[in-house]
Amino acid sequence: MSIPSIEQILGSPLPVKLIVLLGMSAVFLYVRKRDAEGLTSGFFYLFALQAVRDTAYAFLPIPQVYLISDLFIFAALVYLIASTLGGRALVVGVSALNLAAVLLALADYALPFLPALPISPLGLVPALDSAVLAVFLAVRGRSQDRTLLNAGTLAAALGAAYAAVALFLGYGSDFLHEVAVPLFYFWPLGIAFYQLETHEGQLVRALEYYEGEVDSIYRLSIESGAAMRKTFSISDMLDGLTRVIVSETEADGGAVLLVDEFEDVVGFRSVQGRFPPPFKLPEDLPRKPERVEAFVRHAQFKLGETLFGEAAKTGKPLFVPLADGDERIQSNGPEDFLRVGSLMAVPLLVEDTVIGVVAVERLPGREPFSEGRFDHLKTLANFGALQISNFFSFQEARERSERERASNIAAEIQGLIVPKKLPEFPTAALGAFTAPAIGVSGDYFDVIQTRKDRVLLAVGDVAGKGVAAALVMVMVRSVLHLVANTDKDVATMLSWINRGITGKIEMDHYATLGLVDVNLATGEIEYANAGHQPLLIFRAEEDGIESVELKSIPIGVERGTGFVKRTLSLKSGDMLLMYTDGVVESMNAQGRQFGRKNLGTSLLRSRELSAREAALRIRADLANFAGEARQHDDQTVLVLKMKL
Amino acid sequence: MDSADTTYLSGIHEIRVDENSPLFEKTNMLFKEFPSDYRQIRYFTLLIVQSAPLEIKEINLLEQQISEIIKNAVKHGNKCVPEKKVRVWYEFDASHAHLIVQDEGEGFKDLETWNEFNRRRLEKLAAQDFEGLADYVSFRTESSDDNDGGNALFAALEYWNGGFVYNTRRNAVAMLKKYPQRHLGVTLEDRTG
Repeated sequence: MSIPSIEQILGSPLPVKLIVLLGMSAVFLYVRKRDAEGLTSGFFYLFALQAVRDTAYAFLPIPQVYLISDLFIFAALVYLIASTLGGRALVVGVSALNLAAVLLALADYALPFLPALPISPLGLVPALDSAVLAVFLAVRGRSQDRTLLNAGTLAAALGAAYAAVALFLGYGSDFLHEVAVPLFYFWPLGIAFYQLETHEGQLVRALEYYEGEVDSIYRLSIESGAAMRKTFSISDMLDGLTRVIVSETEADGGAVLLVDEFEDVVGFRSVQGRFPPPFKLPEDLPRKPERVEAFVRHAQFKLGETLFGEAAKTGKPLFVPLADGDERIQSNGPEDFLRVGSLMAVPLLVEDTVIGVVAVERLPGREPFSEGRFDHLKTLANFGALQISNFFSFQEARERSERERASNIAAEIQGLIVPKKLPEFPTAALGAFTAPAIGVSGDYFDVIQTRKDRVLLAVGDVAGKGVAAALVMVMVRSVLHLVANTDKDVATMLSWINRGITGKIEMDHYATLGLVDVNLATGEIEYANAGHQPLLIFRAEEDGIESVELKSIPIGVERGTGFVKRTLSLKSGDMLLMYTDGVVESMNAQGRQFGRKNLGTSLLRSRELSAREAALRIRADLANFAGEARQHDDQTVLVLKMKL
Repeated sequence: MDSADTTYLSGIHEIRVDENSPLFEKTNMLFKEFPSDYRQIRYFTLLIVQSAPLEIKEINLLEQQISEIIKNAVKHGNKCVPEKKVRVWYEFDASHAHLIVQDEGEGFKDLETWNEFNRRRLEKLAAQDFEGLADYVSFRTESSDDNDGGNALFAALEYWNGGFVYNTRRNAVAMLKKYPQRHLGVTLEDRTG
């Protein structure tokens, strides 16, 4: 074998091939730039392999070089196409076959033993590869990625054509080298090109699809947002949602059903457009459009019953492209307004909770819903479910904040009318605390200096809670301040307050009130009571606690109630304690009440303390007793200590 | 009638006597006691109800029901003798109201008679015999007066849906109201199934 001269090489098909290769390389670079994802690189390697083969052949024009490289190229082709489509066995088989053929070809070249037939038996192998690949592609069929399959089929067809030329004309044929090979250069690039184009087309379509979805979701948000801003009504919000879903799916009508807040049923909450019922109507319901519509509007189903109950129970979407003849759709009569055309129903899911079902319909005669619409509805349903659950969360938060606002107003009023700072006297000192319980705000206390040597102490508890109770408290306080500055005694003051409050307005207004009028010069006190807790007095001389109880009914029960007063005398060091029921009824985790006895002990242990310190001591003892238990009622304490 | 109320046909609708009922368990219940003063019943009721949370929507209905029970204790139990006390244990949250009301009287002697009366009343209702029902509008005993409607317990039995039980002496009654709880949607039991 001799190495060909320059003339021979120039006269060979190599220049043609090289020119084509050059052109191809330019295209190669262009494609490479567009292919950011490396989709086509496999085909480029094939292209390079061919280029190497032809350059080698130009210098070593032996047919076996061609045959052997083709065996590799076809194995690589099968690998490129079949491996991505799950044809591993095929790849292994073809590789083994081709490798065996390579070994046979090498052996035959070294020591020719194969018969010189018109058609080389080894040349059959690439043709066989192409045929097997074609069968494989046909079998894999439509279930696989369309683009890949098309590119593969194209490659297999071109490969088969080339293999046929090589087989029938032989590897020495001029036609093969001058026409078939340069043409065959096109195929990897062509396929790479094709794949890239389709891929980009897919990207564009996906982009358009997502743009559409985002658009729909945007419209959905706008609609439900409007309902939240304007009326904050769930039915307005659901109506808006249904309208958007109907228009986005190009349906004739649609409905949203929600799972009931208390029972396990799912019921219609919004129906828009024309929505013939796909479930069985009662036999005795007149088949009139307005009657049927009214029935549908209020229909509800147990979970699992009808296609809506089923979707709500299982959480599975339902697609009925053609209602006619589909057993899932119940027919209610031949009338036009009762006939369903095409239906899709998708559960409204928030994580693994079904909150309802959304359904849309097209009437008979219109094009049925497509799979694409079904997917679109699923996206809309996902987002819709989120909107609905957000709405309910907002609603709950709003109700809670309204409740809190009402009790905050009451607490604020209460905070405004109790004294901020206690007055100080040479002969008596005061201490107090009031601790409102959340949402109650009924305790009241006051200290009114009526004359230089007189101070009026008041502790009361308005029954009820919230703003109503606060209003009663304000009324009590107003009358008290008015009569405190007259020369009336404490019993008369109570009857005036009682008259001022009882039966005046159409609401319950009860309050207990204890009044103590202290003579700062003498230590003499006058005590009157309207249903309030007994007075506790620490007697310094006896070192004991005296309980003073004046039984009577509270303010607000009867207009004509008469109250009595009792006169007592305090000596230096004596302490007077007024308090509300929240103190003595304070309960610990074991369910025991603090009680008057503990309160008395607490006062007794405060004998050496100032009035202010005594109030703090009682508060600490109370907190200690209650521990972690919740405070369920207001607690108020007012202490006076005489130092004559 | 489209929306006939059929609740009276379901469940056991009679007053039970069962001192061992869990409804008599007083642990951690709040407690108040009142003198048997008929004039103050509304006030006492308000003192109890004020500890009910704001989440309970039909608070007026609850107040009315509690008021009836306290009225029974003050009037029929303690015969309005001010020295006799009415003791109330109570506990509320958003999902329930639980009360025990005890008086110092002789106990509800006519309990069986009442149950029998109520059973007949419900039969008339179920049969839609509205003429016959006229005889069963008001339950009256020798001690009934013009202020007794004779129908408070019918409503009570409907209202206290978690039970309405007397102790053996029949001077204490324990009751439970369960409020339906709002929930959003139903949880899927098995997503793959």
